[in-house]
Amino acid sequence: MANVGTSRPVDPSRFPEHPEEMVWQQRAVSLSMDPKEVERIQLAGVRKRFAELRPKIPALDGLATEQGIDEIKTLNDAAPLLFKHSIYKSYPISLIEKNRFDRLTAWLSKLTTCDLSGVKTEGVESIDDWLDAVRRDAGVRVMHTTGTSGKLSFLPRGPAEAARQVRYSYLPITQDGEDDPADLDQMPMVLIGYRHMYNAYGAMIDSVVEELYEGDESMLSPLYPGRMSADMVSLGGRLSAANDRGDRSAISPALLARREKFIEDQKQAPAQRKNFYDKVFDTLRGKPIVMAANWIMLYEMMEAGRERGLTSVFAPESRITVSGGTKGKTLPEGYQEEIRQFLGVPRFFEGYGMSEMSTLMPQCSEGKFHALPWMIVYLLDPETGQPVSRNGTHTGRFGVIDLAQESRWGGVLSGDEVTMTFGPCKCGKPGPFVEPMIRRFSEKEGGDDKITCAGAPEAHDKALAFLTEIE
Amino acid sequence: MTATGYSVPLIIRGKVIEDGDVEHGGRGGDISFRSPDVRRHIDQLPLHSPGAMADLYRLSMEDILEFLGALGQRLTLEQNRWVQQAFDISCRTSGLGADILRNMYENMGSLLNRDSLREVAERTIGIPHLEGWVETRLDNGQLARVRAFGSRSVHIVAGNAPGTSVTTVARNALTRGDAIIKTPSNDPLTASAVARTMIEMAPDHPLTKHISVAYWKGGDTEIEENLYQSANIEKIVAWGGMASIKHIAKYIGPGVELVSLDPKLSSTIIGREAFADEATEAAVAQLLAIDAGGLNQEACVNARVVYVQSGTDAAGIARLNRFGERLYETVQALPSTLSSPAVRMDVALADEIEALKLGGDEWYKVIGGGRKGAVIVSQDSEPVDFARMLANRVINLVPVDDVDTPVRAVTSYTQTIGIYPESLKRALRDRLALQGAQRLVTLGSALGMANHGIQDAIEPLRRMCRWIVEEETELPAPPQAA
Repeated sequence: MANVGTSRPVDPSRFPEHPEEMVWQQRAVSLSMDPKEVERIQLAGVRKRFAELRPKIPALDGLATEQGIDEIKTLNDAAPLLFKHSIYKSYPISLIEKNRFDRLTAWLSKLTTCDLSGVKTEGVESIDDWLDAVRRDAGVRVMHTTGTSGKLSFLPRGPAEAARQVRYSYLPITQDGEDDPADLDQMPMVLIGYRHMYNAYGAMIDSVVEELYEGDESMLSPLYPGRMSADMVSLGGRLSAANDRGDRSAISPALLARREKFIEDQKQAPAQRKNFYDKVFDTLRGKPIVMAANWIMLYEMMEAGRERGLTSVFAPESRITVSGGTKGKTLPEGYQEEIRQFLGVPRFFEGYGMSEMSTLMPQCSEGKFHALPWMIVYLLDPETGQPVSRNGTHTGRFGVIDLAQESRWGGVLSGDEVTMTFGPCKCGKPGPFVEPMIRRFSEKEGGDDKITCAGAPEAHDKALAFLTEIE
Repeated sequence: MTATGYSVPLIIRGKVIEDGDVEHGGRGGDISFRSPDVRRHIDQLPLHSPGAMADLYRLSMEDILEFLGALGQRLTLEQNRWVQQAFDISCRTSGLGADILRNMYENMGSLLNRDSLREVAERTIGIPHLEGWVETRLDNGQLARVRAFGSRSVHIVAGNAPGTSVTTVARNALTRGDAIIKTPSNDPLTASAVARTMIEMAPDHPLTKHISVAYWKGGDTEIEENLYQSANIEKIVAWGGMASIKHIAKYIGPGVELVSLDPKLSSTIIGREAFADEATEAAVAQLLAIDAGGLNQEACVNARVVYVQSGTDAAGIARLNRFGERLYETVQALPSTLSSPAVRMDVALADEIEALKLGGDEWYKVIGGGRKGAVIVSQDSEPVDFARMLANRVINLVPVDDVDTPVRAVTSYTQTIGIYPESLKRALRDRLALQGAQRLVTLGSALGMANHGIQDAIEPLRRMCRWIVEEETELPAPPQAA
């Protein structure tokens, strides 16, 4: 019973009408489905989603009208219906500065089928308050990103998606070819972050505690016990940008005061970190654990463990997901292997995706990221926006229609340049799959050694540094 | 699409080195090119002995102006193969359309016009200070004789317009300096085209002998730590590029000064007089179109956010929306030698605009989009949140009731502000200056470069000089022994 969140029986004949049910299929089965069959299901699925969501999501209707799309005959016909990922931050940031959370709610309601009309925003004076109000009054969990400019994207997650959250979370941490693990409820989780977070990861943590651990908080070891404030995440970037402009006038004194308190609280962080490592190394030593982190976090953990004279701290079957680069920091050569040895875990999991998607695309034995069958993946020419043909290998801009999204439109276009193959992978599975070399278009534009006299957007680097420290 | 086969020389004081040791670019840029490994020549690159600049002092200002004028005559696109090559590579790297670039390269020699450079030298430094010791008697009776000497400088030039390279050569000559021009990857050849033309024209001329041009990848610590030392240079003159300036800052210390022409953005304030009548409104749209759309909005001087005193009530917003339509059409009608659809789309900016159309239509009216550019009319007094990304002829019109809002929005990042009408400019100039603005211009003339020599709130030519004083003091006669 404990595994209610991770598995459920499926009836494949229902998939064309209910593509979200593929989520419950064994991962190994999902990844080896016949591409023709997947295409048939996806075409039926995207037609259904488009038909049911267009009347309910004004932004989708607007896009379809602008693009003149009323019917979808092939998968590529739906490519013009990808939302630019920036749509989830298309509100003016002044709404937040001026406490117009009523209007922010109205904006968000254009992007979801969920009824937000009952959300009460009187007295709401911060993003945190607003996130709580939307959850309390409408049952919608709004997940925010960590936009480096300080402007956060807001992704609404309805009840249907919430019920699949645990399942989503575990899909990328299954070994290639193995059956879906059944013992995850027995594995404690190490959380290098705040206990309460309103980003996609935080949504996952809450679902895991509730469903998988049946409310047993002792299964979870968070680094910080409190809440990661969305306002502070946002303020970091806004302050940094404001400082670079020499203008702080748009940031309210109340928020600046909260920042003082936040900085004061941060002074406890070293002690909290020490307690965290003491507890993790004491109580979880030699046990299989679940953990998600980036290389910098893992490196710090290794340093803390080595101070205590430890090595091979966890059981080798632990499920550790690693993501991101090293955020501009330089780590000594061979650090990845050192970290693996320290943790005692020979293989880490990686995935590719974005917050807008239901889950990550898991990595195969060849290191490629495979699309799950409810994800219609696209590759677009970055200049023309035209989709490439759905066979062979191409490089372009990654987009997806995620058919598991029911309360918002699952079509989204990333800012990533990827190389993707529509066809079989050396690992033996059919594809499509994405190569591990992934690059942001923004890096490409600003890359190399070009110098112009205009502009100052590099303020973002500093904002990112600030965020890294509080995350 | 990567174009290869370009060769970028290293030029050290009249000597051209053409070994293609190192391959650059080709990663994300549109070109790749080969150039000599600057590391192998690093010992020759700086002028080790400052005394070797004495040859420049055998030239009079008129000699210098004559040389520059003659150089300008030779910098033509038709006949100068080095200029042709620089033009060719710029067509592949620049955000400017080919017609605009052709126009710029055809006219680059005019930046060396003798009379206009004489005016620059006279107005910014004063020719007597460049030609000799200028004497003043101080109140205490002392004599002070001041002369402006040239300095050994590294110039990190911007690549978005060829003019910066030509201007750098001119400024170095007028101040009698020794310049090492570090070129950017988006314009690796213009500076060397000028230097090669100088070598062809007069290989042993002192001005030719005090120009070096090098490309290395900005941030190469091995080269930069070696070069940026007080034994080698006195100044670094850096144009634009926030990352580049922050990077250089760590080499600044006693003996090495930074003359920073920071990356900037510009804006516009239009008073209610613009709506006086139909003809005035059309004329204002035309002037604004040039400031914003000229040179494809690639330069720091281009208008981006435009505050318009249209009023913020329904009638005011409707007025501004109509003006936005007119402005969009006017930008589209600009001649191709001045403005073109985007050569290179900024994907992130295009995404923001698309997102506004669908999710932000309550607050912003988007006219146009895509390669042609756009006018975004804010429906209240706030600019778009991505104002600092505006490029590719995307203009944000912001309605205001009074001019306090735009004045408050000015910061030290604001370079040029175009203002209509003139009376408003004069009324606001002190406040704008205090807020941080650096250049206030008549609407429609933002792209011009006047001969006053003021740039980014400094006088770069004065800063490029070393100001030396000779003091003469009449001391009381020493007491005589009894």
